[in-house]
Amino acid sequence: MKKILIIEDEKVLSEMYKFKFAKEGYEVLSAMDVEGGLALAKSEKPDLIILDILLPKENGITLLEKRKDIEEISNIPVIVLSNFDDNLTKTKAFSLGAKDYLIKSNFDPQEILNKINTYLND
Amino acid sequence: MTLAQIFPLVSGIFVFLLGLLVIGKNYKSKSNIYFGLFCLGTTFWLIGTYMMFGAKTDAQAIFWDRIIYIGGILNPIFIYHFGLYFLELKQNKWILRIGYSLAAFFLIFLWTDYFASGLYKYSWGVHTRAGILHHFFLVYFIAFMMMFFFDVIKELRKTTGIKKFQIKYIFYALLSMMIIGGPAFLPAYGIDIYPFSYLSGAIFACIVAYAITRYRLMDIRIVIRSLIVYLLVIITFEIFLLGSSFVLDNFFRYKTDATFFAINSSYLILVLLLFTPVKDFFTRLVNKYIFKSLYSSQQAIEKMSKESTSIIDLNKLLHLIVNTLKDYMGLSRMGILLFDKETRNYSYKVGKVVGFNIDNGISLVRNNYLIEKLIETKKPVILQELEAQLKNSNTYNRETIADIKKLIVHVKRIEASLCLPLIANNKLIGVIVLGEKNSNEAYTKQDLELLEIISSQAAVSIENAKLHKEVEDFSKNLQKKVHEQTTDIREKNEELKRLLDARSEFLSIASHQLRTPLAAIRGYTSMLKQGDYGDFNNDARTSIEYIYDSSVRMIELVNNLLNVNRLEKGTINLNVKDVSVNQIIEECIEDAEYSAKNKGILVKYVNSKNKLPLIKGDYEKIKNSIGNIINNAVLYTVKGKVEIRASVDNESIKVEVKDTGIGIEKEDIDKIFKSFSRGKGGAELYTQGTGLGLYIAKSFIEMHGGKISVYSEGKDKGSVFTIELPLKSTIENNIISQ
Repeated sequence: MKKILIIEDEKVLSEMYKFKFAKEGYEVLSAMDVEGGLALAKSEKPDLIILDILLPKENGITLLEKRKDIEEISNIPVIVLSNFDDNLTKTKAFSLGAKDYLIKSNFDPQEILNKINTYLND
Repeated sequence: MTLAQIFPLVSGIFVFLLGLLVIGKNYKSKSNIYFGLFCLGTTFWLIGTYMMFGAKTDAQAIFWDRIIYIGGILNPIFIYHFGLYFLELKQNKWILRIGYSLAAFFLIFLWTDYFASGLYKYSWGVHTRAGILHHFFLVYFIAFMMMFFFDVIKELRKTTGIKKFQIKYIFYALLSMMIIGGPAFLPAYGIDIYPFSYLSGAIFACIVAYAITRYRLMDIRIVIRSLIVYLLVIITFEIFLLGSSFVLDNFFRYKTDATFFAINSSYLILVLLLFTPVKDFFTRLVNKYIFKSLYSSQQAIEKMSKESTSIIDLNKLLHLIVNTLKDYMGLSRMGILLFDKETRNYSYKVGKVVGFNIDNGISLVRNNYLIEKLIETKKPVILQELEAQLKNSNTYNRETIADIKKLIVHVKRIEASLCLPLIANNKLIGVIVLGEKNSNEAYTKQDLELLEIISSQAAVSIENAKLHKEVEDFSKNLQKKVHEQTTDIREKNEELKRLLDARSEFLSIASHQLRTPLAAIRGYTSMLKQGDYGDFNNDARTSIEYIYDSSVRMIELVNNLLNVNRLEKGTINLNVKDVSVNQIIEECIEDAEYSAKNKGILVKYVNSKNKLPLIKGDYEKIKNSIGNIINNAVLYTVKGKVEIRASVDNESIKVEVKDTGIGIEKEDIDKIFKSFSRGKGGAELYTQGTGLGLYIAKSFIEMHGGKISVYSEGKDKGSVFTIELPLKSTIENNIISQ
């Protein structure tokens, strides 16, 4: 069973994605912030990370930066899923190795799931 | 020499010179000629008197007394004749013929005993005895003098102005001469009376000189000045001669002719040497105390014309005019009022004044009677003449007198003696206001001539300076206005920028914050719709569809607002990758299919024969643009079909979206690509549109170096939207650095 880590502070959304992804047969882990997310990523070694950008304390970009320096998790693919639609951030995220940058409101959970499936099966 | 001799001698010289000058000044003027002749007659009398007092023998005394009588005989007819010309009266030839005949007759018989014979001896001197003809002479003398006085008195009542004063002084001069000189005939009849008559010559001369200077009599002021100067020079040398001969007589007793001749000769040399410096000295003295206002008008005009042409500054010019006139004419007060264009109401502001108390009325000149008069007559208004007219009020009707009085009040209110209009282009542009002269003298004809020349010159210069000032003020004003407006615009611009920043900030925050709950609504309803939470009955499913569609529409609206905001801020960037336009079209059709099916509209994609190549571009933005056009086509088509064609040539990919919809009216075609702007028919059919979609589509396509255009035959004729995207991208230039 493949593991997906969702780092999302908005509980309504993280529950929604968790429900959808779990229904599809993924093991879904969730964290509320960068610190918790990194800890979970290190301990659980998920197959994919779904990352929000606007998070309490530190933002998603910081996680991407830290991830690069932690060898054990540096290869885990990351899909950014955020409503923060800023070109600079988007570019930065791609340069730090994000696979995709999706705007939450523009996709149904099913569409996101389709993308996850694609990435995980590649 | 006695005092009785000095008076007649000095007066005699003065009167003689006066006569010569009066004739010399204007030998064509009859009144000048006859006045001159009268002076000549008077000279005979005065010089005769001087000589008679010094006569050593009876024969000499009789001779000189006869010389005196030449004046006595000639003067009545000359003065009478002068009076006729001076008063401009009708002349009776017979009276004049009789007069001159009698004078000639007496002149001939003067030298006989019938006129005078023998001497009466008095304590003060001698006098001839009157002969038989002397009686007739007296009748003739009195008759012509009376006729003269009769004319003078009659005219004095009628005449006004300066002329009246002139007549008056002529009258005084001759009356005093008659009263004092008249008794001179009494000793001829053995009546012992001291001949004060010689004083009359001096008094006559003084009165006439006064009238000449004060009332422009004969217009020989300048000449009179010279005359007075020479007279003073002569008197000075005379006194010196008398003094020296007194000293010689009393202390040295040099009585021989030889010494006398030597002294006289050396004295003559002394006079020649000292003449010029003494003359200059008296000229200065006379100018300073007697003829302060007698200036060289030529000099004043020259100064004015030379300096005024080089001055363009209005204030400096006014300064020059005021000071020149004030100095040259010796004025107590002098000012220039200028027509005030700003108030337009014929008010005059003080240009420059010297000596006036501004609070006393000169600053208050409005469109009053005085100004009207100046505009009407374009001639100077002279207080003195007005007052003279008023004194002679019986010759005017009541209305004229009231006018004169009114004018006097106005002139006095501004403390003026003379108001001179400044005329330029036949319009009154101002008034030169003159106070009285320091010397208290009247304004002369020469003054007026000078003033008129200077005022016309000044008017032109002032007008030029005013124009210059106006242009200068205008440009200053303009500069100030431009500065004000620029500042205003800058401030407004900054305010606008601040507002725009605030708006985009608000939009950005609001949009981001809106997206999270919208994502939740969309996400959960999509899952409900897809049966993740089990089945629903049809009504519930429909409701869920509605909620889902609404949330998607709302998300699109938010996205559009964000995009517009970015476009306007210029902060939008392209995320450039290899893009398949074909794929985008297919995805867009897929998205639109659902609502098209619901409306019963066919969406048809006619693919190009040539396979569409990949291009460099921002996938999302191109999709947004093409999707927008296709969605619109479905949205604004009630029935029929939407046909999409894609083609490629050497330069670009062309996507054509043709519908059978409501079409676009001509006047709307230009504005549908503008933000917040919609076609009329569109707004009727689909009320939820924001008018942002096409604006964003156009902006995105243009960012790719492409073009978007529309063609419609009009209302209900359908439309064709065409998007062209270049194969060779020019995007690099358009990317805002990331």
